[in-house]
Amino acid sequence: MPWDDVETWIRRVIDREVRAGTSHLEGLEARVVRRLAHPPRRRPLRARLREAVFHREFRLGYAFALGLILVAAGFGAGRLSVLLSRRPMHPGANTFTLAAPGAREVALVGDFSAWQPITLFDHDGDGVWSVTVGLPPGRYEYAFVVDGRWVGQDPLAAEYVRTFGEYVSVRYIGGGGE
Amino acid sequence: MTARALLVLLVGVGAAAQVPLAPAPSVDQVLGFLQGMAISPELKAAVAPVLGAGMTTGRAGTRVALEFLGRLALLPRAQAEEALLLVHRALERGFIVDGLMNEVLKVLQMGQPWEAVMTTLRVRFNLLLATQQVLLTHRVIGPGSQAPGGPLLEQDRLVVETAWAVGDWILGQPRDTLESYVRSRLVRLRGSVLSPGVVDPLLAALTPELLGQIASRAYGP
Repeated sequence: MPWDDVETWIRRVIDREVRAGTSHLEGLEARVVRRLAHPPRRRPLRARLREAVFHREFRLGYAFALGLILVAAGFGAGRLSVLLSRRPMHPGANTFTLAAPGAREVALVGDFSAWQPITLFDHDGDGVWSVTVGLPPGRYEYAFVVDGRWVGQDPLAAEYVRTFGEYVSVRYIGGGGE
Repeated sequence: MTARALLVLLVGVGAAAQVPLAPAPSVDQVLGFLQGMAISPELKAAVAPVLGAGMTTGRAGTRVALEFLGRLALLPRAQAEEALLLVHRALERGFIVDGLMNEVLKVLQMGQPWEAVMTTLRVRFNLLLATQQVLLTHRVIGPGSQAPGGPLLEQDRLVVETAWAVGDWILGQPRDTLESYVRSRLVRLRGSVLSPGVVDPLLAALTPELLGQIASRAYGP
């Protein structure tokens, strides 16, 4: 292609691009003034929350603070479930409760803890000791140890197993034993 | 750790808050403890790979294994070796041994003498063997892997639960007949620990004769 033809072709393309750009600029000032006079409505809460949660730039301090609040809420719920356990219990529940007025120390031992003691609490001093343990579905053997004395028969147990004259209680969680 | 991962971790901890059980130790921690025990080097060498495989495949929980070894470490060497050898033999055959180790811990926690510990351990071990053989004969279960490193099957859990029910009946002498006692136990586990597809064939095949065979194999000559 001769150089003059190329130059003409380039000029034509530039001219076309300029004309196309100009059309976008028409009325720009009026549009800006309109937007300033009537700002767009605030985005819905859901959209803002979504942005807050999934925004890439998390602030570590805020995340940590929120996490701590959630942990505290979780522990609060756990404590609450212990307090609520004084109601009649569902046999499949994993809250263990024992009436032991006057006891100084009450522990729960069972196969779920490899028979290592888990401390029960009597928050209001009414002699009812409780603890809630997170357990998956299954069959669990357990007993209470009250001031060092073995208490194998929990009135709330599903059944008892006797070994060498001592009892252990059994609780089923989930399945047909629920 | 990113901020988002930290947040997810904290939320998870918060949601799980009740009284959390102590975190389960690692396989290496348990095997490390075993190496530090005052028992014969030959037994350690034999137990370590079997126990390691059993913990990896889910036949031995690390928490109960570490507690079990911890209690054995407080006992005279001969007693510790005696109990460990029996658990090793069970694990070698591919049995789930959490129950055996827990049984030792339970009887010790009760304050029973060592003879009681070993009696219950031998009863349970014999029942595991007998139950597996009888259920195989009745084609309730297949041969399975019968080794600690093989994949853990649901039928392995069925063997343990059946053996344990028979053992509890023998040791506890409840008023129910053996068949109704075992049946009731299995029905209660149906849908949680044992899936219907595994337990239903046994419930269909369960008779006093079948259970009698288990008991006679476990206690017979």
